[in-house]
Amino acid sequence: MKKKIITTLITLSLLSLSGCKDEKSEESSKMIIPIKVGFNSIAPNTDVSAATKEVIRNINSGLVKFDPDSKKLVPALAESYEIENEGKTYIFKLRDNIKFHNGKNITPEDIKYSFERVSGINTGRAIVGEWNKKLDSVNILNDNTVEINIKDDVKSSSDIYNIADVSIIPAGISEDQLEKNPIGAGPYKFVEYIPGQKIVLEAFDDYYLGAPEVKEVEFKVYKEGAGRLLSFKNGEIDFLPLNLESLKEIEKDKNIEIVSSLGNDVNVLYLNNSFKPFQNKNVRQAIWQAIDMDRIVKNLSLPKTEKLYTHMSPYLKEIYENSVKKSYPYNPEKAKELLRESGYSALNFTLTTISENTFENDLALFIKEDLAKVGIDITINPIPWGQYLPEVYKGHKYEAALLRVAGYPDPQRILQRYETNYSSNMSSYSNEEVDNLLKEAAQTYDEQKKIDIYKKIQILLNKDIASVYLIDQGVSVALSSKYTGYKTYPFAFIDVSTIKLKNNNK
Amino acid sequence: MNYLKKIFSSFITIFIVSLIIFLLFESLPGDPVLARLGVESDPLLEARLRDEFGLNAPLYTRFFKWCFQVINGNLGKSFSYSSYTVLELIKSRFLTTFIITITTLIIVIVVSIPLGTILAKNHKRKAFKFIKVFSQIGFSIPAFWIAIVLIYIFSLKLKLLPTLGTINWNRYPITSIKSLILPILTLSISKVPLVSHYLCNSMIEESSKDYVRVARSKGLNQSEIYKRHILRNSLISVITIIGMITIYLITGTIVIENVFALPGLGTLLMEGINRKDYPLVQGIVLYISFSVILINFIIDIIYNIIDPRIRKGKEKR
Repeated sequence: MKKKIITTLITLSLLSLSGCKDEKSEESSKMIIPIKVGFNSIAPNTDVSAATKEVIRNINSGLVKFDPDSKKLVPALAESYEIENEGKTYIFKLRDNIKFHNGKNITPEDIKYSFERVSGINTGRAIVGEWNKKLDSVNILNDNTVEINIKDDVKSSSDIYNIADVSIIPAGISEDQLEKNPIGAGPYKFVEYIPGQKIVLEAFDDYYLGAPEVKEVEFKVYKEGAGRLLSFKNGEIDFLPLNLESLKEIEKDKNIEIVSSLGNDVNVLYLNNSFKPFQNKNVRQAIWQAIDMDRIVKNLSLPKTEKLYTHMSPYLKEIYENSVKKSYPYNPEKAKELLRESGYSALNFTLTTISENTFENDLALFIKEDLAKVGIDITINPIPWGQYLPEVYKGHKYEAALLRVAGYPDPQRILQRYETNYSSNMSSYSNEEVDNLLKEAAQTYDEQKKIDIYKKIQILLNKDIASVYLIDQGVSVALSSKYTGYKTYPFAFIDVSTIKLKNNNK
Repeated sequence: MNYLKKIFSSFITIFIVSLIIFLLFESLPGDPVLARLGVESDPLLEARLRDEFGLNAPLYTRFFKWCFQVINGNLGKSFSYSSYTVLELIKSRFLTTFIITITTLIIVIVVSIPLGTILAKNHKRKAFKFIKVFSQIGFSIPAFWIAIVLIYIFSLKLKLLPTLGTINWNRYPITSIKSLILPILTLSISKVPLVSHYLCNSMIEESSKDYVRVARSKGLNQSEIYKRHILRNSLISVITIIGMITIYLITGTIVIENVFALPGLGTLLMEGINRKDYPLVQGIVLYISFSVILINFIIDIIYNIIDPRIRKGKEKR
């Protein structure tokens, strides 16, 4: 009897090992990308969290899109566009013969439906709050031209970035259909979705820029940790966002391509103006000059980390203001002097960080050490993101806080955070000149003029020490040896369509 | 009648647990709407979501509304997975946790009962003392550490099993089985030493009791004494341990599911807590409370079967 059981067990295990070959080959043709969390919704534009957008952007296309090479917006489903009526009207001419994933041609009716959907103009159920405020009307001019009108009182020169974000979907499709089976015109078609587990996408052969090389991709929920690195090394996942530890491990393997770039995310040490000592500019300057930024870069950097001087990363080269680069160099003696002058030679405050973010907690330790050298004693208070978001980010209840602020391709959206009445003005910064310049930039449709204004704002933020700007840590991603050519974006997007198969390029 | 009483008190327990979880969840810092919308939240969307999920209503209204729904067999809609109901989500994760639980339990019982018996029978030998120390080390090692060692051996070195859990019974049944081997092995390795150690100690204690001496003096066969008396009586306490392990497994082995990226109930519960998805957390807690009560019932029944004294004691009362 015992022998029989053992024989059956051995036969079964052998069968399983031989049977797995087909499954493995089927699976190995699929690129597997780990993601941190599941999605609230996979319907286009419905879930606004970055974790969802970085995936869902592969399914959808807009009229214009951000080009990571030129770092500018370029026409996408639209062949060209014009801005008229001083920014009130946008006229888009569609490309010929562009298709949705269901094979249907994209028409101006679809554009009208998509914009009316996000604004909730007909349904009263807006998908994007911003569009609910902005959209005046969408008119079909002829069979390949469409006109989008923005309400006069809220129009802004950065509306084109909002337009780029609207996913174009087939007219008449219901929210229910979009939730379960989303259709778009992006490089990847929807195949399968298991909530909290994975989403599988397949290359769209009729994509207007040509079919992507990676034919199938699975985004799988797989939290960060030792397991993820082991799975990557074992060839089970093909993509790995790197941190300091995993970078050191991965760098040893010469077959693995590491893509590094500036991230356009800005690590900021926010000093709340409602905390009395921080109302004194000398104190803010002392803190800035007491932090040894070079030591931070040396110890915590990824390959492209850069020190910052304002809330703008050199990622957006054209807009970045170079002249502020020499401001507030590390000088603990000067810091002590400034603190003495301001009457705060012994200062205590609490620095709130996000407990889940290892990097920021490491950063906090470096800052604590540096500040202790000039007589400032800080208490680090790590709290979970769920608490940080309402209390610190929205409620501004903190003394000092560390935050990695997400970058956008639109400088207006980045710098708007320093407008007096803006809800996410974390440091409660207020400068009438900055407010006026932001308003002026919003009404300026001349690119060069806008750039000059944004540069001026950066000079003012630096002069006022609106916050202590630390670093853009940059991003580094490892691709398994089969793939190459991944491109990074200044916002949440894992663009699989840019990834090429190595063998095809030899 | 006794069982009817128990069923009634179980429902009261479930109600109280649900209420406590509801209150605890409410007192946790954070806002479910902001947790869902993140930094890009917009007042219009915030208001719509609060309205859609009745978050503007007072706490007691929400709780009793939820209770009423549950009585009608509806656990509500998940807050963080908009187009899915809580029941759909639990169903989608149940099978993975269930297979892990059952298989681990079978392995634990099949391996640790003979192992514990052998250890007890030979506990005076030096070699077995060494094994006992070894088993003590075995249950002190955290499961995630065992998982990493197993991944290193079976995945990285031997390339036999995946590190990453892929569960898709329709498309990849064999990959699904292979994905579950390491998690089950990890859990079994961490639980077998515990049960066998416990059984061994209990048997040693039992064998020094008077009735065993009497049996021996009567000249009863040694292995008969072990099988019929010592093992049988020692199993009573082991069943309690196995019951506890079952509850631990059924509630989802959060750490192991995370290490192997397995879509089980443990990870679902964590997601619910992180996203402040109260309908989801309430639903899973309800399921867990129900399972714990059910397991306790089953343990009670097994006690009765194994030890007639318990049954008789109850009858007398």
